[in-house]
Amino acid sequence: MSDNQILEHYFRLQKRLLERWITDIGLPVWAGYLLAVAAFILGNLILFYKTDLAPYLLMLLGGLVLLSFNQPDKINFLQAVYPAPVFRKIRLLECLAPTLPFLLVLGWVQAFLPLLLLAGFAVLLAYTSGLRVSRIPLPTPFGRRPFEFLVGFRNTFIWLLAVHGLLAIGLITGNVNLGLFALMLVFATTLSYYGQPEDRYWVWLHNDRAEAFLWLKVKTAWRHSLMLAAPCALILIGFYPAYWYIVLAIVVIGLVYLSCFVLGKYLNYPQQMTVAQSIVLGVGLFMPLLLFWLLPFFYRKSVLKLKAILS
Amino acid sequence: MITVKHVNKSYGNHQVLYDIQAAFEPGRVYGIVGENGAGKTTLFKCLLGLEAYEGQVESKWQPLKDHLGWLPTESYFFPYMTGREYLQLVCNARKTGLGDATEKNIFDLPLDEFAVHYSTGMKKKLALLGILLQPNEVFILDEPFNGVDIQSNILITEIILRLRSMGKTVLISSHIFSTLRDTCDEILLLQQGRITQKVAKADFDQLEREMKDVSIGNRVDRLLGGVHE
Repeated sequence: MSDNQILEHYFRLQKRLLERWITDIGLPVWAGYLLAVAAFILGNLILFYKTDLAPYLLMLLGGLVLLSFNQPDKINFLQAVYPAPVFRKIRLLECLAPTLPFLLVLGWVQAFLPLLLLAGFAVLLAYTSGLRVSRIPLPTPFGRRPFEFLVGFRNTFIWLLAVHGLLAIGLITGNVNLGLFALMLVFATTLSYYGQPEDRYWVWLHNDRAEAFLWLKVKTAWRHSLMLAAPCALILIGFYPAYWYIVLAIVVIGLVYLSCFVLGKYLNYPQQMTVAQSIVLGVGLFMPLLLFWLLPFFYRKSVLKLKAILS
Repeated sequence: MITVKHVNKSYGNHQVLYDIQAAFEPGRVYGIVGENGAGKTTLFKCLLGLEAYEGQVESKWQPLKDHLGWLPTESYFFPYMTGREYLQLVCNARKTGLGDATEKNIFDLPLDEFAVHYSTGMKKKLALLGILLQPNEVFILDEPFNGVDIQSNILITEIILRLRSMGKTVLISSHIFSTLRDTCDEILLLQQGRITQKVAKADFDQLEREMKDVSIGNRVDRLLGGVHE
């Protein structure tokens, strides 16, 4: 079997798995594809209509999508199973394919800096699997309550370095907007830590009732996200004291979004969020006022789901 | 004391457990044996409250799940989490302090390395250590000896016996009969979802002989008889 045949077989299998997943969430395969394309186009239209920072937000979304595909166990498995040249090609294709739609849009709007950053990140991720599965644990301040932030921080460490690089560029060039954007990116990165519901064992293990469990999760997310964002926020206030209220607003909105994601993780527990729930959450991100209704709704729904395990 | 009354469990039309009745007392160790697919793990999950079932599981500890330590056949470990952080997480979940993890690390595990990189036996020992650090009254150990080296096997046996003398209730599933003989006060034989025998310690040898007869039968002859004669 040639390398190309192995690659073709692998990606055919991935396509089959994707289509099974679409069927599992209750959609016909064609509708899944159509919905994904429509959501992407509509999301882009809204994004570019709403904000001048759209190219950078799109770059961020592309980065987050990329990170969600970056599963260490799967990469280790691929490395063990396939010959080295095939493994490299698979990694490169798997990192570039999910970012391609984002790169095309960024090219279309001639936003070349975010395009290059996103493409560079994809290539970097494809070639740094050795670094990513490093056996040396990075020290973190999250060890007292180890879980989402501890794992997420180590998983997104390179990305967070790049975000702080953006902050440094903003400070050097006197571009406060870039600095504020970096702070938004820090919070947006923490949202990705709550993307996957954990195995039921890890909820069952707690001797809390559902309400207390959720409250502890939210409090921990607030505390840890503030620890992660504090350097960025304090540096910004130090350099641009007049913008303190914008920094504060980003932090507050970031905490509200994060709360939504924490509760969202358990909306359909132990399964992932349904398509409808994801759409509602997505709409909420663009219409912050809706969050005042969504938060109590998410809370009640999540408590109901968790009570099956933490009754 | 845990009393299991008329527990039935089905997945759709497929019934896995039939009218399970048993009593598990403090200060005693129970072995649950049966072939693969007999329903051992499903029974454990019903006791843990992780599966819905018909019937009752009664206990003086309420809710029972908060007093249960469960060692699954294969524990899940988060990527990028060290052994020490895993123990902290497990202790946090039951609101108990970890204390000096190095002192309690009786299996000499490399606690500051990522747990996902541990060998199979080391993962088993870490997961066991985790539930032993919690203030549990009941321990459900699904294959605790699997993949574990001989020295640790001896240590785990001693731990189980100590738990018994401390008045804890221990349920063990194991495919290694000798480990059950060394630790259990009673063995329950689970066959196709039914408890078919409850065997006291004095009759363990008889049970082992019966199981050998049923398991081996003429199967070895069928496989190797014609090939090597």
